[in-house]
Amino acid sequence: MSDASAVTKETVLKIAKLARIEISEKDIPPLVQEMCGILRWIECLNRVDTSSTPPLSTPLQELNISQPLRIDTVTDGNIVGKILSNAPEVALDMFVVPKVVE
Amino acid sequence: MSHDSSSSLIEGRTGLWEIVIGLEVHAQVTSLSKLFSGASTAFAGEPNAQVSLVDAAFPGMLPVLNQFCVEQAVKTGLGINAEINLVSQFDRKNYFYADLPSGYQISQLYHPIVGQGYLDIDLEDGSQKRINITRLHLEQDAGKSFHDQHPKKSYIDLNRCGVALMEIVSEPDLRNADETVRYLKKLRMILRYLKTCDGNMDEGSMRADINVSMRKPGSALGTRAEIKNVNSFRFIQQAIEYEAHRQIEILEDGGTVVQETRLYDPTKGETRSMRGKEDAHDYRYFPDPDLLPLVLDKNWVETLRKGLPELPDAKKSRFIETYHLTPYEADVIISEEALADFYETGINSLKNKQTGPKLLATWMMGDFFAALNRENKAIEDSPVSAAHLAELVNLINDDTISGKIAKDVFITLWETQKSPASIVEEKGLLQITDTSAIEAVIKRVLQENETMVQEYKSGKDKLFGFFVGQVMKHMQGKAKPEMVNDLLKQALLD
Repeated sequence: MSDASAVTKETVLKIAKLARIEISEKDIPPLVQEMCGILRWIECLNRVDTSSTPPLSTPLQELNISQPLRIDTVTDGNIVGKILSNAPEVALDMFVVPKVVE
Repeated sequence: MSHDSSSSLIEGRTGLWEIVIGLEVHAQVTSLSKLFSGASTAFAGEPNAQVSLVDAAFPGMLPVLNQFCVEQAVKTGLGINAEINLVSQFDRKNYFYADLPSGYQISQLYHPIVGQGYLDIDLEDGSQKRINITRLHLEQDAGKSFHDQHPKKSYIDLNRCGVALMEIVSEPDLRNADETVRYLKKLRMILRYLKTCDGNMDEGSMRADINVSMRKPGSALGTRAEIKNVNSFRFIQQAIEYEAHRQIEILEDGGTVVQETRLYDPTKGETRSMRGKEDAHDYRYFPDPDLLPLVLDKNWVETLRKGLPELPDAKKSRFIETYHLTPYEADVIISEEALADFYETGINSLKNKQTGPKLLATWMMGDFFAALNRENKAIEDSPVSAAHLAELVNLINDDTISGKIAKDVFITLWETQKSPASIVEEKGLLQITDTSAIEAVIKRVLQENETMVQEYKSGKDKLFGFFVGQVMKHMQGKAKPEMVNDLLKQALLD
């Protein structure tokens, strides 16, 4: 989506849903404006011809260095207390969440 | 509508329909620790005991890639005749679910570690079909949800979260449930030979998402539905059959198939829509900023290629050529590498390398497999060693015992693990090949049954078996059957 004018109320509601952010009805119009502004700003990039430039996901890519690797040994785990420390509800050493069933 | 599972075409009300199937197989990488953390991958651990702060997505924790998982993916790629991408990249696949604490799965969308490959499947009629593979990429597994502990709550265990998976995507080259199952069995066999995935479907180490669409033969691909996470060969077959017929009904009623994710319900034998997933395809992939590209050394890949074990296709051809097995016998013996190894260990102990290998295969697939099955034992736990089974074959080959006596020796061998030769000696089971001894018994039997001899001579051929039985009985089954046959025929001619 690169067309700033394509941002509508529905776009904002969809993005809010995907991001699990609750927004009130009155927040929507300013958010539409804000997102249009962001997209307009990004659209400036379209003025540059990048047809012969490969995508760059990290500035280190040019160096052709690999990410570091670790050897396959068990070095972690058995920290149930820490893992569950932020859980709002716990039972049987598991996270408890509202029922999610397909 | 009726149709068998190995036919590609289904007769509908409006004519023939062709099934088109593509598979996404998730194979758990065999490794000690997870793809990006040092927590254990062991099956069935205590809840949340095999979770690191990385897996639980605590803020600031950084993933570090497991070198062995990379090696396993490359080996698998080589095993499916695929090109290895020396530069690959990890992406974030964003979705919201309770068993995915980070809100994204680290996967490889744009630059997978393994590119195009293929594997050949053997069809019912003996012909082969090549199934092309689009790609193989590495990704993380999610946690496990338990919905049956509480009426209104789900319980989450993150032990599986972050375990390395290989997703192996096929081209839509499969045309029926039978081919699909054959493809999966072949893939599973290759993974097990390579030891890159244990292929244990009960534990979820291998599961398949099945893309099914229908079309009129020769026309463009139809819209597909994706059946998620089917984890047994039988269910895969059933899910495909059900889904094909469901889509034909829709299409013939003038409707359109919705591109959606469906779930197979084994108890009802049907697929149903997973409605909660309507946003599921809006994954907003982007390169993971925490992970640099993965750059492989070409020489390292070549070293792995040279170190690959002999794979099922090559082993099958060699067994047929070297040991004169039938394709069926070869298929059975190579189905597990451990079986093939057992067989070849036995071959080393054979004295007669001409007829021995074939007879050893017959014995393995006969009394030996029957005994293993009866006691529910894996080949690794067999009380009978390959060398002892080969020794039994040697005793048959050099006429020490008959095949019939060998069956008795085998039972004792299974129970006592004593050497076949010593069993034969202890029990006095040596085969009698002394012509005069056999002739003496034949003479006695014919004298004792004179009336029957007359009946035989007047045309009652069936009595021959009776005489053989009598001679064998008198000799406690130890006479060489072929000699008894020949000598009896002669004696009855006189």
